[in-house]
Amino acid sequence: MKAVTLKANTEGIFLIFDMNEELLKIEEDLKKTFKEAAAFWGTEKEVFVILENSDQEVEDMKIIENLLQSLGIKVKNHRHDSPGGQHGQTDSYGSIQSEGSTLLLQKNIRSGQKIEHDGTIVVIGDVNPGAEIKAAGHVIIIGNLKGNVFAGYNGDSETVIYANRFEPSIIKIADCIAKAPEGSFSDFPEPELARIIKGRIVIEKI
Amino acid sequence: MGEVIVITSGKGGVGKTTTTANIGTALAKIDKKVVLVDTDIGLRNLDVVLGLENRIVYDIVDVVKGHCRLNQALIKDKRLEGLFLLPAAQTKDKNAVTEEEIKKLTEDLKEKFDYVIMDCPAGIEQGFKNAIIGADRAIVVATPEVSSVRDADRIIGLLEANEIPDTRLVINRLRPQMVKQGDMMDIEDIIDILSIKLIGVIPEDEFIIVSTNRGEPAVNNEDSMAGKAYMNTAKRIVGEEVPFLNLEVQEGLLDRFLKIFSK
Repeated sequence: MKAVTLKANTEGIFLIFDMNEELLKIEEDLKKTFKEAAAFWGTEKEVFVILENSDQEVEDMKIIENLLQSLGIKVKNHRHDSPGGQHGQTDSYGSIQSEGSTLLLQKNIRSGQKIEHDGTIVVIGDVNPGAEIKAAGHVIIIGNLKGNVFAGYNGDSETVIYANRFEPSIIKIADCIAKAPEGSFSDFPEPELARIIKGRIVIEKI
Repeated sequence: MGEVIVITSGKGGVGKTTTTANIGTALAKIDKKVVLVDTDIGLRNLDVVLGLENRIVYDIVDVVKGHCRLNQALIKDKRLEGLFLLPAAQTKDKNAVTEEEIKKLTEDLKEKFDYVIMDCPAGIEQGFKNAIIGADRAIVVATPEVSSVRDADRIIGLLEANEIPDTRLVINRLRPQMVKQGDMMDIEDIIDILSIKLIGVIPEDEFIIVSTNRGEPAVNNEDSMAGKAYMNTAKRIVGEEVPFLNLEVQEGLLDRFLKIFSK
């Protein structure tokens, strides 16, 4: 069990501390987390802090703040609920705007097939490996996504990519590009949404 | 009026020609009049698999170019009354015939036969286009490997684009033991990706190699598992409801002993 967990959503970066662990282990895990997530970290130097299993929140918070400060990180705020929870998300999803016409496809997009449209594309079916979807607007896949998807090809960074099962080879939104991680995907996939947050593609469960 | 079925796969070496020979032979065994057309011009194999290579005088190119009559080029099978082969040319290539010529040919063959089975070459180029042009339905052959399934997916997409109404899947060279151990994709995985209906599952069978070398399709052998599976596939093609073979590996007494000792 890790004493420090890093999460990110639309609001920023969260660090979750398990206060049941010893302080030394927390410090060690924190340094490790920073090292592992160095690329992800970028220029972000402010984080939210969440304390779990804490009896003396005020004291613990001070200790953690000091610890973070020694690493050059500022604490924005601290909260008790989890970043994976509901807060804030309803607003951000509610704000997805759609422009242009929508192309609705009720079929599987197979290897070698390329679908291009100057609005939003909705696929009811799977997008298989080797297939390509390219839209000026959003790309919504009610099915498995295993191929390549490009949303906002005119440079609209407000566009999103959604799939019931999110296992793409490559996704692009406007000028950003993201590649699938090495290794296999989860056996129990959940619907996910990809969008640009602070200049990089972030994929969240919804 | 007969039906034209194209047997295709995209990837090479998955068993298109073997499947064509066996399904064709099986259909002829259930008293259908069948012609097998080898469209793999330049790399002909179907004649060898059927053991008819010594009887070729005219070929498909001669027929479409009018160098001979259709009946002169059709080769009757050694064993079965209702089975014929229209061989490919070996000294030409895929561009020796056009799609229109093949379409005309399939229409002529449909008049004479219950089933016209087109053995498609590997790839998605001219040879593939020629083979599918006159097809009423398609059978896609795939082996339980990611590369084969990927190519099958591509082919199914192309068949859909060419508006071939009925595409079915044959899974070839399945090894139940490896599936059981989790080392091979299982049928459900493949169906899940390709989302088309299954029409046959053919187990890996060493006898196929023997039968190919001898030029005697495996359906002629009562003991061959692959032969049985091909026979069932042919019955499904004519519309019979046949349950899929139970390919569960039977555990013998010796296996059980070995298992106990290996623990």
